[in-house]
Formats: sequence, C-alpha cells, structure tokens
Amino acid sequence: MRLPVGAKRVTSWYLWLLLGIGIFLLPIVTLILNLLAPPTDTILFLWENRLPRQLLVTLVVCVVTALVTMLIGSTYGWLIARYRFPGASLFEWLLLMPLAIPTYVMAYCLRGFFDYAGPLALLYEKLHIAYPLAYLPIQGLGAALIVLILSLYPYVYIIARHSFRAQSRTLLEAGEVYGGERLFVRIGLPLARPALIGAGALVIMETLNEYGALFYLGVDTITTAIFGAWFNYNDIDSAAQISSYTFIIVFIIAALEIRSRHLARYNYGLAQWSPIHYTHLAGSKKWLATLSCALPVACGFVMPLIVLFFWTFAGDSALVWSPDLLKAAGQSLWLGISAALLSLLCALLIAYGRRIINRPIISYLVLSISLGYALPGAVVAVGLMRSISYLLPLGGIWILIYGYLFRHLAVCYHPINAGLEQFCGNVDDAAYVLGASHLQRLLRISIPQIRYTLIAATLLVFLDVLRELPLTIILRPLGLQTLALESFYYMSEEQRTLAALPALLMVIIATVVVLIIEYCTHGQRSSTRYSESQ
Amino acid sequence: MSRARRVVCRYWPIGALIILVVGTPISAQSAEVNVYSHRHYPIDRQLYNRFQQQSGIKVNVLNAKSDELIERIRAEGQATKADMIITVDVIRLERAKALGLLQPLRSSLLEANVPVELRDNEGYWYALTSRARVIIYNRRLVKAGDLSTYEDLAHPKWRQKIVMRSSSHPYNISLLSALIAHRGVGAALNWARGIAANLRHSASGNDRDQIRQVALGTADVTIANSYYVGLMINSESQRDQELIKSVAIYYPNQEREGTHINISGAAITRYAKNSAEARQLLEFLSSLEAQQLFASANHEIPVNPKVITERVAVPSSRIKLDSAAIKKLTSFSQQATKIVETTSWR
Repeated sequence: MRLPVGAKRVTSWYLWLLLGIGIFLLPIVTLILNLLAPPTDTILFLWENRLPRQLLVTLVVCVVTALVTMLIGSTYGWLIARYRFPGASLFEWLLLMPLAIPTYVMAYCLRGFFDYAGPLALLYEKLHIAYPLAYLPIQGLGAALIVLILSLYPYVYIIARHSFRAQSRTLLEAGEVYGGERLFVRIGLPLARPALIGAGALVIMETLNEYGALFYLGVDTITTAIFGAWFNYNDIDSAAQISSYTFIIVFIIAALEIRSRHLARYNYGLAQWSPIHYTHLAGSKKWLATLSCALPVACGFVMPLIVLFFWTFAGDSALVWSPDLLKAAGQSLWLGISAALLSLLCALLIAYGRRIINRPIISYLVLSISLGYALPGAVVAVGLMRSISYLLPLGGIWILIYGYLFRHLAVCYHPINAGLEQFCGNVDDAAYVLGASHLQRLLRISIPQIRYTLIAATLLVFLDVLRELPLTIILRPLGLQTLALESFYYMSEEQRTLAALPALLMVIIATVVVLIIEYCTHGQRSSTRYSESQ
Repeated sequence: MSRARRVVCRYWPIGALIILVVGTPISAQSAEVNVYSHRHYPIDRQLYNRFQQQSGIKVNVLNAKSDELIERIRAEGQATKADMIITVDVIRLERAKALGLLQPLRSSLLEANVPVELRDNEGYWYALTSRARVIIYNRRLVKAGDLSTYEDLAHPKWRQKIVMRSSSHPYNISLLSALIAHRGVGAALNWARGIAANLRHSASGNDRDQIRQVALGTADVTIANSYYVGLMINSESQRDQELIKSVAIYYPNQEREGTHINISGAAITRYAKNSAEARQLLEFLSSLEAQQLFASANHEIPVNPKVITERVAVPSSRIKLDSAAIKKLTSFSQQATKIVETTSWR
C-alpha cells in the first residue's frame, strides 16, 4: 500500500527530480522532434529495399539474445543460489567474468581463436596435425548470436542470482512440495520476475546499440541502417529519424512492462527472510552442473583471454609498449570513475524521487530518459552535438561525461530502483510514519540497506564507460585517448599485436572491477543476514 | 562484515573523488596544429614527429571516421578546434567542401607537388596519396591471364569464387561510382548484381580478411586496396608474411581507363585558428621526404611525381591508373549507394 504523501514535504523533491530529469530530457526532446517531420526520401527508399529485412534481423537478434540470456542467466543464477556442486563457489564469480570482455573484442577473439594464425592452429602445428578449421566461417547471424549471448548473459546471471538469494525462505520452503525444477518454475522465477525482466530489458538495449561486433561479423541490423543513412547517404536527419523510431518501439515495450508490473509489488518483510540452505547435488548431476558452468566461462572468458595473451606475447611478432598506453589507461580510469560517480548520484536521486512522488507521469519521464541506453552511441553523440553544445563547449571533457551519463544512466538506475523496490518497502514506510524526512530516510535507511547494490551499479557504469566507443570517438577533446579507442583502432586495421595490449589492459582492469562487484554482492548477502540476526 | 570491507565500503567515494579532481585532463601548447584525421597508421605519427622536429609545430590528432569528423566540425561551427581534416576518400572531402567547412589554399609548392587531377581546382583539398583498388588472386587457383577487368568479375564463370567486404564501404562505393561514370547506371547495376551472385558468402570483415581468405584458398579472387598486400608482406607476423606469398596483385582495366584509384587527402578548415601552421604541415606532407615515407612504409601511391619507389604493392609508372575519374566520383556516389542497396551484396 502506498502511504499518502504530504504535499509540502514533497515539493523540494519534486523540484530536484524535475531538474534531474530535465537535464537528461533535452536530447530525447530533440529526437522526438524528428518524428514530427515527415519521413525523408532516404527513409522511403530504404524502406522499399533493405530496411524491412534489417528490422526483421534486429528483431530476431534481440528476441533470441534476450530469451537465451534470460534462460541461461537465470538457470545459472538458480543453480549457484540454491545448489552446491564441485567448483560452485568458484563458478559463482567465474560466471560473471565475460563481463570483462567488451563485445567487439569478443567478436575479434572468436575469429582470432580459430584463425589460421591463431592459438588453436599453433597447437595443431605443434602436434604436427593438419589444422582442419582454417576455413571455419565465423560470421553472420549465428556467430553474432553466440558472441552476444556470451557477453551479455552475465547481466542476467548477476541479477537473477541476487534475486533468488533474496527470496523469502518461507515461500521457497512452502514450494518444496513441487520438487527442484518445478520449484524453480513455480516459485523462483515468478518471484524474480521484475528483476529478470529488468535484466532482459538491459540485454535488449545492449543488443540494440551494439555495432562494432555485428558489423564485423557482417550482420545487417537497424543500427547499420542508421549509420548507412548517415555515412552513405550523407543524410544525418534520416539517421536521427530512424533512431527515433527505434526509440519509440523500445519505449512502448518498456512502458508495457511497467504497466504489467504496476499491479504487483515484490518486497517481502525481512521477518520472513532467512538464508537459503544449499541443496548438495550428488552423482552425475553434480558433474553435469560443474560442466555446464564451465562451458560459458571457457568460451566467454578463457578463450578471449587466451587469444589476447597469444596476440600480445606468444604471437609471432614483438610486443610493443608505448608511453601512450599508460596515458590512455589513466584517462580511461579517470573517465570511468567520474562518469560512474556522477551517474550514481543522478540515478539515486531520480530513483528515490520517483519512489516518493509516485505519479505515472514521473514514471514515464524517468523511463524515457533511461532509454538513452537503447540508442546507438553515435546517434546519441549527434543528438548531443546538436542540442547540448549550446550549453557545454564541444570538445570539452564535460560534454563527453554528460554523454556517458545520459547513455549509461539506465545501467545504474535499474538495479538501484529494483533494490529500493525489493528492500526498502516496509522499513521505509515505518520510518515515514515515525516522522523521518525524505532525506533522512534516504541517507539512513535506503542507502545503507542497498549500499552494495549502489556500489555494484556504479561499477557497472564504470565497466560500460571503460569499453565505450562511439561517444568517446565523436565527443572527446583533442588529445584524449582511452584503452578502448587504442585497441579498437588497431583492431580495425588488423594490427593485432598493437591492439591486443590495450585490450588486455582493459580486460585486466575490468576483471578487477567485476571481482569487486562480486565482492559487493557477497557483502549484500552477509549484511542482510547480519541485520536479520540482530 | 570484515573491517577491510567496511573501510572500502564507507570511504570509497572519497578516494574516487580525489582521483576525479586530481586527474584533470589535457593542456594546450603554443605553436600547434590540430588535425582531425580518418587515417590512423603508425606512419602518420612518425611523419607528425618529423614535422615537429623540423618546424617546432606540434601536431594534435583526433582520429575518427570522416563522416563523424565532418559532423563534428559542422557542429563546432566557428569555434572548431580543427585546422585540418584528413580523409581516406575524395567524396568526403567534396562533401566537406559543399557544406562550406573548408577554405581554399593557394600554394605554388603544393601545386608543384600534387598533380592537377589530384587536387581541387579551387584549392579546397589536396591529395596526400592515392590508393589503387586492385584484384587480388590466389596464384595456385587463378592465372593472371584469366583476369582482365572489374567488369569480368561479374561473369558467371566466377560463381562462388569471389569474396568482398561490405558493398556500402566507401572504397566499394567509390569503385562503383567510377563504373557509373565510365559505363552508366545500368551497367553498374548489372555489375553489382553479378558480383552479388558470385560471392562465396555474404560480405563481412575488412580488406585484409578478404585477402587472407583468398590466400587460404577459400575464394579465388577479391577486390581490395593494394597497400594491404604491402602491409601484410611487411607484417610483423611471420604467418602473414608466409601466407601473402600465395596471392598476387592484378591491376585491372589496363586496356580501358586504368585501375580505379581513390585518394587520401587533406584540407584546411574554414575556421582554422592555425591556418598558417596547417598550410606548413600540408606542404610538408607533399614533400619528397614525407611522400617517400608514405610509399615505403605504408605502400600507398605517392602523389608527388618526383618520388620513385620500388615496392611490390605500389604500382610502377607503367601501370595505368584512373586519376581522371577522381573528381567525377562524388556526383555518382549517391546513385552507387542506391544501387548496392537493391542487390544482395550488402
């Protein structure tokens, strides 16, 4: 039940919230304005030729990627959260590791692994066996789906595992009558639904804005159409218009999701909550579990890492170290940290504000700004150049950071929002009844309760910024160099040795960050237990 | 909760903020020139360093695709930091000129170093190098005598034997624009359809990928820029060096207008703050010294006729190159883009 809110107390939050939203609304408004113009000749021409097929391919890629990642992500989440088997505590964090590999690096590595000059070919050569896979065509839809699924399933896994662990034991115990698999389907999945759908939405948005990997593998999606209109037809207005269509479609899907969720609230009192006891798997089942967990880790993390190490050290060319690399690493870190901290601030403000001011209009406004994530980065960059460059100088570092914020707010916002929804219901309401102000409640109840979610969400933004390409390319000031840029440019010139080292550095930083995220998620569990035992 | 974890969790924003404030980016220098460039070859950096040694002018480079750079210069307007733009396609230079982003430059040195067909009539842009788009064939599978023209590759006898990069890539659009210029829209459309039908598999990867596939024997021929072969011959990778021996370059259309070329060129922006420095840099890049390096290190065709190179991937002076079409490409590029849109060669 929502408590009635006193108008006076809310006013200042209203202003803050509107200000927060307003800052991010500008590029969206520019996009919406594009829709008012009639379709351009370029779009009409594209519509008669490639566009329908591109839409179809996009749809297929999005749906398949989202469904498969949701399926395997939640299965692994359930397996790790409920069962013990050989290596389970290891796989708990290893399953996250593909997050450390940017999607385009994954695509290059997948091809590189089977390449005639790759590590596998070398192994065959050492064994004096003819290498049979030199012609393996790693391209097209199939390869793209593999790459996308491998690099995106951890988003679902981390959220699913977390959500399964937080589920009420009472409910799960009541459900034990169903037995293992049906317990998962009947109780586990429905309870985790908001979190899983949120994760699925994240995957769809990641897929929609993916360009590098898909282009490299020769998959023709709506993003190709956007860039095609811009680069080939020299018609940036059409490009913006196609982006607006994408935006509207995503907005409708997300709005439907909100509506369907509106009926149910998912927080359960802490009193019913107690730590889950693991079920120990036995016999062939336990080895099956181990093997199935090893598969995505091997393909999504170990394989790319082998390839990168191979290109850097074991390849047949000398390692190149340049001072630029250190500079790039420093600037990458700086950008990532700044953007992550600022987006934490904005996301927290907006998520909490939305909670206090529970009006549909605010929900939709918030939704629309968090969809900046679904737009291709280059389009966002153009939108920013056109709309915001009056306020911030182009080529200044802050317009780039604003771009990151606009684009990656969703990554930070969704987990925080879900965290607030799941954990801060009753206690928050109780504190409200006892007369605590909104700010007091935010600082003393909400933030401590979800602090690990906050850290994890912030680090997710950091990860995204670390490997971000299109915004950085278009908006960066002269002289700024990041690891992602270094590796991307050399990759696209097929200078693998030069590309591998910055990519490897990026992966190492990302690995550390992923491990911290994992550490924080553990913290979440132990702290919840802690507060419960008191 | 452990003590360490508590400390990390409580105080990490402070640590992070310190990094945020301390790590402020990027300062400016006195004599400098800002270049927005589509080129990102190691050789470019080397050239800029030499220029700095000789002139004392520092070169700052911002790399991105030409279209992104053009859009950025446009959005920056009079406040643009760009003094010079370098593209790898004449069509993009013409586009920037049409958008009013460039300023004309008259330099007797440049006019002496760059042949008239490789520079804008009004001095808005100058080519730095030209690049030949050639046929690369597998020596074992194809005899040079089997090859003749680009048009011939559309013949059904090449079915399943060709690999190509994406048709919408500027290099292919440029080739198709030249075809329209010489043979008309209908012939170009049939050619694109013929290539689409002959593809071994759908287009993916870049020029190097296609060359490797030909070398491995996955396909018989491809069309690619010749300098890639040179770069692979000089590759740090011994495997690439080994592999590249199984392919050879064929310069098509010798009996006709010559092998298709496009340019990598530079122009000075309209609102350049350092136009004198930019002019100096442009003149340096057309000089014997720089041109020699473009050819010897990057296997591009020098524009300066005084430079003599003997590189396998650089066409000798006996090879006929289609320089005359350079300035016609832009007017046919839109049609070329539309043509490929209607074929299955994506």
